Amino acid sequence: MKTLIEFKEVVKEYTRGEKTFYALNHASFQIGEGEMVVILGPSGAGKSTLLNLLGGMDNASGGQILFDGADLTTYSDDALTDYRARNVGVVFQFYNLIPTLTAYENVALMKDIEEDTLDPAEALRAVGLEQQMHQFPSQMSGGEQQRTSIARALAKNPRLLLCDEPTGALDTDTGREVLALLQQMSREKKKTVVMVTHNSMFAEIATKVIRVKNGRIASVTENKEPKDANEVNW
Amino acid sequence: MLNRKLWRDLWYNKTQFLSIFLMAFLGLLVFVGLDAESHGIEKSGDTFYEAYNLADFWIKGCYFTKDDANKIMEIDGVNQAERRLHIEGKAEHLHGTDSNAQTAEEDNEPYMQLEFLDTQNISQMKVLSGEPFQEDREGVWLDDKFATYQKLTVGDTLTIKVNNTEITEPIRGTIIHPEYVYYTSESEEMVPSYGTFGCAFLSGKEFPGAGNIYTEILVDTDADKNQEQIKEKIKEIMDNPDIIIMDRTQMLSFSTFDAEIEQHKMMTFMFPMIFLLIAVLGIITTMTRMTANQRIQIGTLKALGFSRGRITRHYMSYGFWISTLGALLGAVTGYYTLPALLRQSMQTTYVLPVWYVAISRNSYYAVIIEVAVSTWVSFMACRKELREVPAETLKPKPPKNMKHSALEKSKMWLRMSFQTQWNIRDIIRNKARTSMGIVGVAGCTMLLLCAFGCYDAFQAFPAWLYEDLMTAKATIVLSDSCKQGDAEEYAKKYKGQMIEEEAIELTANGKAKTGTLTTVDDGNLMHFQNQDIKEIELNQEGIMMSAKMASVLGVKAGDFVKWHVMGDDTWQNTRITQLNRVPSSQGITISREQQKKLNYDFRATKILTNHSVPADISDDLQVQTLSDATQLKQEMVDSMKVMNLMVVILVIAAAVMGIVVLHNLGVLSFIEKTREIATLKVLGFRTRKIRGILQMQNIWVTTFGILVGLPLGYGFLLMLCNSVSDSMDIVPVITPYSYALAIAGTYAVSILVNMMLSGKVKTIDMVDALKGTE
Repeated sequence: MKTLIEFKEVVKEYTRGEKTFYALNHASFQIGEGEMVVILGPSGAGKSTLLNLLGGMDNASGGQILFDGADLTTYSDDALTDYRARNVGVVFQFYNLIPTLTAYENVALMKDIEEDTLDPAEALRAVGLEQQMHQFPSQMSGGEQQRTSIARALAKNPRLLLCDEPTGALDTDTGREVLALLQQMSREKKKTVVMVTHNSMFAEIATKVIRVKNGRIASVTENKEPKDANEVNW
Repeated sequence: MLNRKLWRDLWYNKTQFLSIFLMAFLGLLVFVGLDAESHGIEKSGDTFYEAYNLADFWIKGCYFTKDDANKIMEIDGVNQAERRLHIEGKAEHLHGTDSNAQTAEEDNEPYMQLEFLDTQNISQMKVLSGEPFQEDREGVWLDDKFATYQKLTVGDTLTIKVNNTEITEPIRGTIIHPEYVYYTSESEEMVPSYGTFGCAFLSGKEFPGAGNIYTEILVDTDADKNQEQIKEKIKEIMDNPDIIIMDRTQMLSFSTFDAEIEQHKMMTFMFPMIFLLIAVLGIITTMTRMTANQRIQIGTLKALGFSRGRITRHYMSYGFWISTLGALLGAVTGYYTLPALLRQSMQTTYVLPVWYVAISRNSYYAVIIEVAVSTWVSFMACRKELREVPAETLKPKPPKNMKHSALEKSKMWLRMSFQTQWNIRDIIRNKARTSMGIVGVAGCTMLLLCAFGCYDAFQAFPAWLYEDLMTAKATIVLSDSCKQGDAEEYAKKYKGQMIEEEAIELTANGKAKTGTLTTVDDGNLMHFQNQDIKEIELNQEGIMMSAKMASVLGVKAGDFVKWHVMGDDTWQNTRITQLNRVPSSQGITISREQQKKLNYDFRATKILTNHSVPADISDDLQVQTLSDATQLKQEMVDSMKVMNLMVVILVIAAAVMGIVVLHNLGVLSFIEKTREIATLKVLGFRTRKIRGILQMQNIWVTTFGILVGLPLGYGFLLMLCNSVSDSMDIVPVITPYSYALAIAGTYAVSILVNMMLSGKVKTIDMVDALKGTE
């Protein structure tokens, strides 16, 4: 399996007044192409920082972040924007859909930055939303909104799918559906899926689990036989 | 897709954007409308002057021979020169407008300005009906408005009394003339009632009397050549101390029309400034709020890979589209409405063949500037949110670091009621919104005060002239042929006060200006007022100068000024001992004694009287007209009525501006305060109490805006009055009633808007409003 992402001694520090906080302290790990990775940890452990750095949404204070061999920490703002536009799809906890655009339009939005995108209708069909295509976010349920968000992330055919607590705002059944969808993307479409959560039950469906604690990588475990998302209970 | 977001966002925030749209719309409507009008009339004048070859210089002061004209023609830069005689006369034996017997009687012998032409190459007439002018043809070419009013047509005959002789001529044509775009029968008249007097052109051969008659040479120059040099050269060649050379700016018709254009141009810039300022403030508040509210959306777009430039362009396009739409629609509407509206009053005052509507380059600039400023302001508003990395922007904004202001730390603070504290905090923390409110209210008050002030000033004008400054019931205007002895007879007979008015040229500080020298004989029918509009006595020493003339020349009491009577080359250098204010015919006033000291002979041109004078006195050769003060005053009051239109426009503009700004503000602050209001509701505040709190702030802002607006309104009125023209002085009086009306009007607008908004307090759903964002 080819290595897609490598974190080498990555540091992210914040200065508040005279104190310096380490959101991420010399973190190192690797993620292979097509893996389904779950990053686990209590709130404040540095999970979100990890995800932001992975997605090129924040700058590291030290170390190297290699994506397909290229070091993201040396990228300019524009290069990072390009990186996000080409390679990364993001699924947020609170969906972050544009409220004034319909589901279809939210997905079609990606056409504005990338020529080579999936047909929005097809992307929505893939997440099972052909019926709700022309509804506004406010007219959809949480699960539907999150599926729209996944469709939007998938539309530009990214290599990396980042999910920040994707089921955090959903009930169990809907959450499970969303997880199954993500797993399907990883298994069938060979997408690299990185999911951040504080729910340790999700570890069972991952091929790799990275545990974070106080800004450090506590452990990296490979899961040879991940469970089906439909079998997970929480 | 971002464009769809744009239009939906615009739709969801329509109140705010509508108000920005309206301000851009109104600003450009007024600007382009006035520009099209002022530039249009300028073009109308220039085209007329150009096509009919208006003279560049008029040489007056003695009899001129053909040889004189030829000599002038040889000067480098002079194209043509020709002779003319200008003289005043009367039309006789008119049947008048028979539909109105009374008018017919009064107009029995209308005043006429006559021009006897040697040739007609310069200052040509435009023939509207009949045949073109021919130097050898007998007949008269008559002022078109006069002909229409007096029901005269080509082929009729007209009898003119000139130099005590009657001549009867067939009417060959009706005309208008570039030197008669504006002219009056008497200097006090502001808006001339054309038709009751007129002008006529005849061949010089028709003039009764023999010998050389021409007392004027018209000069047409090459516009590229130095006009001053030509003027000097003419002086040199003529070598006659008695002659005076006048250029276009010294001619009543040209200079009055020119001043009118300048005044319109100034208005073009003054009014739209207010609207633009408010549009900009509106964009600042609306865009700042919108980008702050869409912070997470901006973060999402960034995370999705939209470049910073892309997002910036998206948010800039809000300001861009709204202002472009408003500006263009405003420009088009202004172009098609305002010139037509203003034209009506212009057409009663000025006589031009064609009235153009034409915009200058300024209109294009105004649209570009308006759009550029709006777009730039939108850019500034969203720049803040775009500087951070996406990970930061995706988080809700950390609450503002609340600092206690000095006031909040003082002891006074504790003694204030909750609502006072709440409102003070709200104002301090929303400075942009508050200042927009104050500017809007101030603008509203300013326009209202200005409107009512204009009304007051124009109302007071006739009374000032005919009740305060001149208390005579009638004025006997003496003709050129009246000897001083005859004048004394009349004065004695009607117990009148004699006045002599002469045209003079004044210079000071390198500026030259034509004006009137008024010499006043003993009597108590002429009154003078100082700059504070207090009555003063005419000093026996030195001269009294009108305040407007003094400000035009840049002199004050105590300074010396040089002047000479037209046609007399003796220059006087006298000290200004007093300044007085007079509505029209600016210049200097001296007593008869003072005139004697300056070695002039007194020759009355007018007699003021309070005794009844028989109407047939105007049949006397020595009398030109008899004018009745009451009637003149009434005519002036009537002519002022056109000003009411302006007052109405100003009041509407003020109300629209006030309502739009305050409503926008109210909606804005209401949206921002929804959570706070919901909290207050949950805590058990009654809706009425909450409305009271909101109302309180509204009243503060309104009151403060009014306090700012009142002096601005006065200043604005002052500017308007000063811009009228060099020959007119309008005192900006604002009656207490107008102040009260402007203040009450502003409060009324403010309360009206508050009523429109206060219903919203009830509609707040406590549970919904207090739930999390998005």
